[in-house]
Amino acid sequence: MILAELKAPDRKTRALAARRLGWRREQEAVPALLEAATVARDELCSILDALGWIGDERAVPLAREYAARKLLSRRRSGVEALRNLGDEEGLEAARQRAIASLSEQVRQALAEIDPNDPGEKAAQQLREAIWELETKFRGREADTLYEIGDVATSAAARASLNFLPPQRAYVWRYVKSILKRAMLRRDPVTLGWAARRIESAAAKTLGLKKNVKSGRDGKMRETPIFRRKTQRYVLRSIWRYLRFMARHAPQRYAEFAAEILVQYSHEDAAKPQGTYGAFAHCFLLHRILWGRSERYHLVESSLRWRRRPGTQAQADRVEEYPELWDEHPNAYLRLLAAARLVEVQEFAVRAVHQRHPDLLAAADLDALRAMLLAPYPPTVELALAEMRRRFDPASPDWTLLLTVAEDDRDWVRSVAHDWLRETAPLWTRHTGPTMDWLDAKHPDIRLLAGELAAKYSADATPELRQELAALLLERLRSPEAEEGRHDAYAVVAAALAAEIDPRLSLDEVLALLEEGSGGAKAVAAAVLGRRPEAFDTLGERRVLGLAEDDLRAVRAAAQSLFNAVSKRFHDDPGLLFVLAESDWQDNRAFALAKIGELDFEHLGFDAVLALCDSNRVEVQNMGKEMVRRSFEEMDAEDVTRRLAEHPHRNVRRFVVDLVVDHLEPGAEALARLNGFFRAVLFDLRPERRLKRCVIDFLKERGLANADEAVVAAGILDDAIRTSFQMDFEHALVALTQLRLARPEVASLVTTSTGDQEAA
Amino acid sequence: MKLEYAYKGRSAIVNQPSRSDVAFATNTLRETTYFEGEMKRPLVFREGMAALYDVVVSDFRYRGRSRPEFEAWLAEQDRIFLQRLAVQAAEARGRMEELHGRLAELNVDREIARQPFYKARRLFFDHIYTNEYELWMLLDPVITVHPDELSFEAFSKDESSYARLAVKYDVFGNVGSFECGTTNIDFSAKLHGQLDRMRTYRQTHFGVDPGGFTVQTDDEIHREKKIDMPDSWVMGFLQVHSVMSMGLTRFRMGAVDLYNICRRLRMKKARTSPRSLRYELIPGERIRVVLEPWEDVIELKTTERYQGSKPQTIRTWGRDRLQTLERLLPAARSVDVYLAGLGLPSIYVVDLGEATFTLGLSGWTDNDWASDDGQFDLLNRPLEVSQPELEKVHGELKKIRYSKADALAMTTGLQVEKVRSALSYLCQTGRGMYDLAGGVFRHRELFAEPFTVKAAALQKAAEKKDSQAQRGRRLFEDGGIRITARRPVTAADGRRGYKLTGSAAGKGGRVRPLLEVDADGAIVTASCTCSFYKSHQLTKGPCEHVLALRLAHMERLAS
Repeated sequence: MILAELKAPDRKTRALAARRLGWRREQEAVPALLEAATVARDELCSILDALGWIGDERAVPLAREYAARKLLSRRRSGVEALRNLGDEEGLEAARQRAIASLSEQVRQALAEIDPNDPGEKAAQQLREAIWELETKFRGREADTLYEIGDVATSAAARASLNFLPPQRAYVWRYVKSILKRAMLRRDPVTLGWAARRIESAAAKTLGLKKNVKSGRDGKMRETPIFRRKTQRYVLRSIWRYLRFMARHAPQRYAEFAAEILVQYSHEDAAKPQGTYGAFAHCFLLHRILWGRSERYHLVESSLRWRRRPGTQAQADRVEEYPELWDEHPNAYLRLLAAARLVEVQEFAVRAVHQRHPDLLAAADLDALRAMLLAPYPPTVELALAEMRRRFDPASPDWTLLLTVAEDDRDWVRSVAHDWLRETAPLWTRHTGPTMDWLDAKHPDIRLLAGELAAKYSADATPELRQELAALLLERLRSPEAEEGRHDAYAVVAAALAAEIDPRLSLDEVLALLEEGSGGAKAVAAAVLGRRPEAFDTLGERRVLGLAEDDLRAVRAAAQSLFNAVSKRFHDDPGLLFVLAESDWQDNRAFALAKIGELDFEHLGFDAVLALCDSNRVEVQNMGKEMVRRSFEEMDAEDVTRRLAEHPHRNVRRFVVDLVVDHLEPGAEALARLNGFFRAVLFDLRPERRLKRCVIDFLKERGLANADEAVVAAGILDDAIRTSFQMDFEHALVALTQLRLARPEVASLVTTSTGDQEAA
Repeated sequence: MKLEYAYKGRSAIVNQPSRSDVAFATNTLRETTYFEGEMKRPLVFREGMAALYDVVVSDFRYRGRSRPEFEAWLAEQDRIFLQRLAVQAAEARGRMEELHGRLAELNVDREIARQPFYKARRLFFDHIYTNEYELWMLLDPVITVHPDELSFEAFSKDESSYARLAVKYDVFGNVGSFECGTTNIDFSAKLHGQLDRMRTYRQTHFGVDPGGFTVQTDDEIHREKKIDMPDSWVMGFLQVHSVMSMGLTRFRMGAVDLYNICRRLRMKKARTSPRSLRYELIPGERIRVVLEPWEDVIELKTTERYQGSKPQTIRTWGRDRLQTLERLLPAARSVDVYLAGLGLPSIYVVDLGEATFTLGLSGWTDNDWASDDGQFDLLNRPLEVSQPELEKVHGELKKIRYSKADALAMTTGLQVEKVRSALSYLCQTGRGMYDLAGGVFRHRELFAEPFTVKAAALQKAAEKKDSQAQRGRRLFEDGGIRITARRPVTAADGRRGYKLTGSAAGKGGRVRPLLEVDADGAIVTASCTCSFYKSHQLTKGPCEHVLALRLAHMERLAS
């Protein structure tokens, strides 16, 4: 019946019949097709395509004839038919013709590369040569390169698609040609690229009409270029192609569908509008991924997918041809490794979890690595799980470990952490791998490697330790490429103290401290800390300078040196007082601990007072403790008078107790502390206990002595002017009692016999 | 304005058991200025410097509460809510709940894990704050060595408070060599801490010297600072002295009164407006300070009754700034308060015996001394002063360093009014200052460049471009102002002046300015019916109509 249709009066029917025969690969139809070709006009290309797909050698002469034609459509069908027929001789002739038709610079670029080089560089070179041409010639060159059909030329043609604007005159026909060739050649990768380029361009342009020269008759005529109608026709034809593939070559449907899906990314999303979702305009994506969903329906006029209001997500599968996906699950692997759209990744991950749990066992390392870069965490988890399964710590795949260790995501690198720990007994046996890990890309890996290398260095051979120490010092002496690069070296060096120490002279240590990196300083500081004799060489002043260094390790070294000569502090504790006032808490803690070991005899009165004089609370507290401890050996009045000048509240509390217990009698002593009493009473922060204590004390002293009463009344007079009830009342009671006991003392409070009242 | 500083050494204090050496390193790019002496009463100086430091670091500008974490949490809750609305399937919702639960756990873990980082970051900023204080500081204080006192001047970080510590030579038991002049001193937070360690039982040697404490080497200049000083800072310095030389309402309060105010402010936090300090001045009665919005009344008990001729109520804002005087309260003897008017600057002069501390507060905290074209200098009488007159007054003031206007008039042979105008001019160009506590004008060169009349004129012209003064003069010259009534008055303190009413051409018809001036032409009070006055009253200086009325009055006086 189909053969009969080859003779139908309608051109379209004849062309369709030829294509159907081609899809079916009906060998019996070859004579009929060859006969039809003799009289065919418009359907000739369909007949050539069909003959190519059937692959019968009888079609070779016809294909060769048309492969030499000038008209693009005829030549394309002829050349692709030759390719499908496997006619090497005819293809070579066509190839030479194609090369000869290339522009000079592209031809030159082609001559400079290996056309079968699968690397990106060759394709890049060709692509750049095309880029240098005028826009209207780029399409032709790209199509010709694809016609040549070598690995590099095809890759260059694919890459060129990205900068070929389909809506431009003399470009669209070649983009379309590449698409058709990909279909004829059954090249899923190029088909995916071309489909993607066409669909994305269709979302942005309405196309245009322009006077262009016809390829058929060479006449200039106004031609619609990539208009809406064309766009929709082409997109539909791609899907039709996939449907035919599902019907006639089902083993390849999933592969083709996957190549189209991997081209989508989140950049394709548009702002959702009502029932049109973010990907409503992605016709092929919807067709392949959600084609059987009841939630969406295609609006034929715009070729956009619209959500049916009120519909729920379906529990069953909604992709087209699900059975074909499952029969050829490797397509899922392709999606997992290459898809950039989360929805596509989700689709593939769901398939793996639900139906193909063992699929990843078939994945090669490149695919697993690519999966690590997937934008969908479950995909990365799948890849990591598979990598964990494959990883053998006893015989590790170092490349795999390195891949994971260089990943920029922390949670991916956490796997590398585990593997590094598991394999540490292996790689720490050699200096090369150890240094490589210490130079790793990420600081966390470097530091972990440092810790592990330090740990395992304890069991290493003396030779290995020496070699490692030499290498570490060599690196530490060189400038740091970026801040923190030397940190891991310092961690290992700490464990190799016995080997490092003899390799560094004091001058070298000092040079590293002066100019080295943070890591180098830490190592040098540790070495210095282990050389107590260096204290005298360096001198107090220089060690004190080191004690003020920003780096904790350097300060610790200085403290070690001080510790080594701590006996000297019994005679001269001056240095400790300098350290006690350091800006660094560790210095202060060190100094205070050392001061705590000294007794009053060694410190002396002035030194203890100097501690109290500090502005730092912990130093003040130490001073207070020393005063309490040695109070009997001090002049109580002098201590009290001196500390009363301290402006800090922490000391003021202490002084109040001293004053109450130890201030000598007499108005002069009381008047001398006038400022102190006022500081307590007129403190804005309410320290009620202190204020009461001072008021009571003044009252007691005033009651005891007439001269002291005058001083006390002067201070309390101001206190009763405060407008705060608690302070005011307490002061008023005190002053009233004072006045009652000593009526001769002048005060704001006046008393009358019988009743006492305050004015 | 670019300012350059170069210090040979660092300011520092070295404390030994029986001796302290205080050395302030001065800017070597300024005029040679030094001072040396043994301090007799270091505690006064210590407390004064502590208060100056508190003013310098203070920043009371309003900042809305920033709650980024809460806002992020709120946004996250919105997102989750919308997600829940969108996800209908029970299974998916259950999964989502589960994941959110897990996420919350992870967030808690993350916060716990980050605690050491937060702690380290806090310590780092503390360290930077203490050790790299110059990065936070706007400017080093200005120090001036006068023949009778040393003064330190600075502005707060928010530029709304001006502070001046004037230490009389009585603080020093023995004054050594000194050279009068103005310069900047190297100042740091560390130095502030060291100053706190000054004690009476140590002999304190005080020095202001270019070298500071650094041993001199071949490379003489050790530290250089280049600061892009905001114009507002300079303007503030100039404006503050304009206000000081205005006719201000003055009264005295005791230190305990200021303590009562500050303590009340410390104890309570106003949640609602108004947050002003309301001074109620009724002749013959005790002055009352009312803290709004609680209407807490503090009656000033230690001072005499108000002596003014008429009752007035003056509100001032930004009262929290008074707490910067905390360190002075125990040592203060009295506080003189100078009020310019409603919403206008207020000045507190704290008497510490051998020192005085002047705190000038702008109208309110967010309105710094120079913002919004506040031109208090216009309240003074701007008489035309010729170049030779200006140079003469400047030269004489520089020679004798400080003087009252009438004394200067005698030495220069100029009229007192001319001298006043010239001094006002010098104050506004940073070449002099008015010492409110002493009631004298002092020579103080704010800028390193030597004084020239031309430069000063240019500076003034730039400042006054299209100012109220220019519009007032135009109005006067165009005959747009008419005096409708004028009568002489005598103030309670015996000063004579005039009260004037006028009629001027305004934008929407005639306006009626009212004015009271003293004999020198300085504005005592003023009001107007124009929109400028209605919007700002005197907070941005007088309007063009008031200024034109004064010009008309002065012309009539002259004729």
